[in-house]
Amino acid sequence: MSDLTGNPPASGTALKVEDRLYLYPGAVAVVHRPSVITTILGSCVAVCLWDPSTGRAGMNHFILPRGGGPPTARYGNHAMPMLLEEVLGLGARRKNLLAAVFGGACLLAGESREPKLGDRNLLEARSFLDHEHIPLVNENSGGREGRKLTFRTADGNAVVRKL
Amino acid sequence: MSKKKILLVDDSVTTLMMEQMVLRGQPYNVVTAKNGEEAVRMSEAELPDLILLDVMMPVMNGFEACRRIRQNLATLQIPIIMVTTRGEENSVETGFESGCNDYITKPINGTELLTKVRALLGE
Amino acid sequence: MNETKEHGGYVLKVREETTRALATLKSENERFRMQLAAVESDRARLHQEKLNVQEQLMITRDHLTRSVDDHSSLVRRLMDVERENERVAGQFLDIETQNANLANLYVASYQLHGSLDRDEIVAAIREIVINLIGCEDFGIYERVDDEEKLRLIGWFDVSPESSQLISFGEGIVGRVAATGEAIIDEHGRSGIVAAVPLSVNGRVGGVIALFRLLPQKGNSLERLDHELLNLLASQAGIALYSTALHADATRRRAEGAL
Repeated sequence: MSDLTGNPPASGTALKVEDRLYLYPGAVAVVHRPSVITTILGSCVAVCLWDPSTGRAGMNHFILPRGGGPPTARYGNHAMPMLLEEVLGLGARRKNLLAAVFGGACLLAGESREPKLGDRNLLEARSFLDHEHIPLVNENSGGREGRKLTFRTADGNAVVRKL
Repeated sequence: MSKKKILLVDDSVTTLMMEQMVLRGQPYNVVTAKNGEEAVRMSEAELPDLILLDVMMPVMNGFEACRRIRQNLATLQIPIIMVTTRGEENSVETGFESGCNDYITKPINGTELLTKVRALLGE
Repeated sequence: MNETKEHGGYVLKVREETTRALATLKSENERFRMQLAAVESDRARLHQEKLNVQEQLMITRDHLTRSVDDHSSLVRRLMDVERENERVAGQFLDIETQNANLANLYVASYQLHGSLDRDEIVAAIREIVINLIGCEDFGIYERVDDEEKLRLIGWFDVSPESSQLISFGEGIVGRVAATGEAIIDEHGRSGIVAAVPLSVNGRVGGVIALFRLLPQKGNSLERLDHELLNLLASQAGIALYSTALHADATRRRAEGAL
């Protein structure tokens, strides 16, 4: 079985029709049955969490690394704990959780000396996973292109197509 | 150092005004266009450092404007952020295929707009 | 005699050997004594060195303790600075958000009072609802003169045929008109996310109903959305009322001129 790696599933593991949903920027989706979650990323970052033992899974898609005000999944500092809490709330086992990180492209060659927005988004995601001791098993990030991410929760397969 | 220039394109006066208000007081020069055709013309005449391009517009939509801006050697390198109303899969994919570099969804969140612009153009 | 002589020789020899052995022993003794003195001196030196090292150790330990203290205090200060930094960054973000929200409210207010033309005001309300709140499924209702009825005057996705005229008290929109109280239902279970009365001097002159927000908003109204709805409730009615007064005044002037 593949595990968030993006490798095609072995033959014979073709899945039955799953729920399909498209994740908008600034949203979190968690599922308890086989689903296909899709999203499109530029400098935004999407993180997939997957518990292979229960099939519980989720994805967020945040726009900026940090933000004040009331908690919203538009900001990484809120979107990451939201995703974790919601996946656990659905019955995922914390010790089984695997993570994958996507997006964070630096689409434009900005002249700013500051770290690029995409990099800052990625850093926020990675440091949260590190802090929570959730293994990061796959990452497809950075670069200059947009990405279409398709995450199949039945087998944890996360496929990226460059746009 | 000269100020960076931003071209805002939207057929909604309210949106243009809001974007201008958010960017006011920041070290950028702002120019505006009300449809895709005007956007193509102004991107060549003004050579902005960044274009914020609405999708749904009369005369010429944002996708077509984006394609034309990418066809012109003088403007093909200008970063374009697409502004999609519905933020739907097809619309965003078409945006990237047309040559946009990133996208945001409506209603425009002022803080996000400012952060993206700053990240791209510097402060 | 010979025996005595031999014996005497032997004694002499023994004596000589003894004398030699004594001399050897003496010199050995002397050597040992010197070695002992050297060892004693080494021992004294080593003892002194040990004392020196111990003293050095004490000093180093003192330094180390002080360094650890200094380090801890530096780490504490660094953490304080980081916390302060984070707090200031948070405040900065909050202020930027407030600024952006104010920009929205300013634009909305400006647009609502930027004209005395009725169509332009209705268009301004539409633009605020579509572009600032993010809703493409809504209706703008205006009170029909002094009757307790509402007429649909602006919409986007809502079907104009189905709800052209609504009586006060009828459905959610009618209820908002009758009570003058806004209804917010973010889960949209009632089919309406928000319905706000447009009031002028306490009299309900219309209602704006948002049936469904743009999908990326997930039907949840943010603080800014509430503020924009409040602004519409207090200003849009007045703006529409002003256009009616202006039209009336224009008509009267035209009649007076005749």
